[in-house]
Amino acid sequence: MIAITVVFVVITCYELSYLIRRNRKPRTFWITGSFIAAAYLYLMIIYHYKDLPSMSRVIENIFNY
Amino acid sequence: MQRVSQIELGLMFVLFNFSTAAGFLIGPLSKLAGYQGWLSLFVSQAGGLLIACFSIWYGKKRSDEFIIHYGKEVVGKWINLIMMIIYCLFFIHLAGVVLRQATDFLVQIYLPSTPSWIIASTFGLVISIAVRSGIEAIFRCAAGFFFIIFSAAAIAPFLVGKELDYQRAIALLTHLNLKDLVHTSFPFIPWFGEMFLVIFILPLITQVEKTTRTLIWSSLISLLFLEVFYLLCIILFDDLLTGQFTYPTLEMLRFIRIGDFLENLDPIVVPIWIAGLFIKMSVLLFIVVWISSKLLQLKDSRPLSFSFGAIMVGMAMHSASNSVELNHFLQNAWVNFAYFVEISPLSYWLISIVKDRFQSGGREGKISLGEVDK
Repeated sequence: MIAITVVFVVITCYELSYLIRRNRKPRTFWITGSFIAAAYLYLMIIYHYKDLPSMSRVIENIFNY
Repeated sequence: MQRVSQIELGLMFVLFNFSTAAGFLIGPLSKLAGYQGWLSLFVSQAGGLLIACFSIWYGKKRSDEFIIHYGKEVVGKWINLIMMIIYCLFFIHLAGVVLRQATDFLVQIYLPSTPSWIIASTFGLVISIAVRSGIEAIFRCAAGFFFIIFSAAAIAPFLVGKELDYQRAIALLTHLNLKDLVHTSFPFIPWFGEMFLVIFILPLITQVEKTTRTLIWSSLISLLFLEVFYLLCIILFDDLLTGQFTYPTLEMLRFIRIGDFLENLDPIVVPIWIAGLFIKMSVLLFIVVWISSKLLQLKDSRPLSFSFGAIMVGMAMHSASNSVELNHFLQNAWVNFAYFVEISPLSYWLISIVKDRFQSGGREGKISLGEVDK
C-alpha cells in the first residue's frame, strides 16, 4: 500500500512538472490529475478487495455462451 | 502528421503476431487441433487478416481523419463515445493479459522466488516510458528488434533439426479432418485479428493505400515462422505432449545442443523474444492512450501514459488467479469478446450505408414532391 502511494506521488510530481514546463491549460491539469487519481483508486481497490470481480470475470459473464 | 512508414508498420506487425503466438498459442493449438494445427494456424491467420483488411478498407475512406473524430458524424456522439470506451477497455485489458502471461512465464521459469508484481511493475514502467516516447519510438524500436529477434528465430530450426523424429511428419498429411477445421481455427482467429488496431492510427501512416499489401506480407512472414515453430514442436514432441506443455517452444529450444560447449540456449533466445512482447504491449497501450487523448481533445497523449500503465499493471495482476484460469478465459469468453470488438468497425460501415440510403431517399422524395408542387 505504501509502495503504491509512493509510486503515485512520484508520478504526480513528474506529470505536474511536465505540465508546468509546457504551460498547459488548467483543463489539462484536471484531466491528468483525474486519470492519476482513478488509477490510484483502482489499484487500491483491487489491492484491498482481492475477491472483487476482475475485468476478465465481467467479460466472462457477458460473453460466455 | 504522417510519422510511420509502411516498412516500419510491416515489421512491427510481424513482431506483433509472432511474439505472443510463438510463446502462448502453440500449446493450446496443439491440444485442440493436434497434427492438423498447421492448417488451423493458416486459416486463423487468414481470418485475422480478413478482419484487419476490412478495417483498413473502411478506414481508407477517410484516411486523413481519425475514426475517433469522424465516428461522431457516422454513428452519433454517444454511440461513438461508448464504442471508443469499449475499444480502450479491450486494448488495455489485452495489454494486461499479455503482461500477465509474460510475468507468469518469467516467474515460473527463470525467477521463481521473485514476487510477480515486481516483474509486472518493472515491465509496466518500461512500457509506459515507451508509450510516452511516442509512436515513432515504438515503431523504430520494433524495426530494430525485428532483425535481432528473427535472426535468432531463423537459426533455431537448424539447431533443433537433428533432434527431430521425421517419421511423425507423415501424420501432418494423414491426420487431416476438414470438418474440424472451423472448430479448431475459430478460437485463434482473434489472436491475429488484433491487427485491426491500425484503423486508429491510419492518418499517422505514410502511403495509406499500401497498408493492405503491408499487412499481407507481414502476415505471411509471421505465418512462415509460426508454422516452422509449430512443426518443430509437433515433430519433436508429438501432438499430445506438445498440448501438455505450458510453453512448448521453450521446451523445444531447450533441446538445442551445439557440441559439448553450448547447451541450454534458451536464456539467450528468451530475452530476445521478450523484446517482441514489449513491442506488442507498447503498441496496445499506445492505442489506449491515443484514443483517450483524442476523445478528451488533449494536445498530446504523454500525460496519460503513466496512469494507464498503472491501470494495465493492475489489470495484469487482477485478471486471473493463475495461468490455467487465464488460458481457459482466453480460449472461451475472450474469443467472443474479441470477435465482437474486432468486427465492430462493420457497424460503423452499416450505419453509414443506412444513413446514406435514408438521406438520398429523403432528398429524392423532396425533389419529386417539389416537381408535383410545380
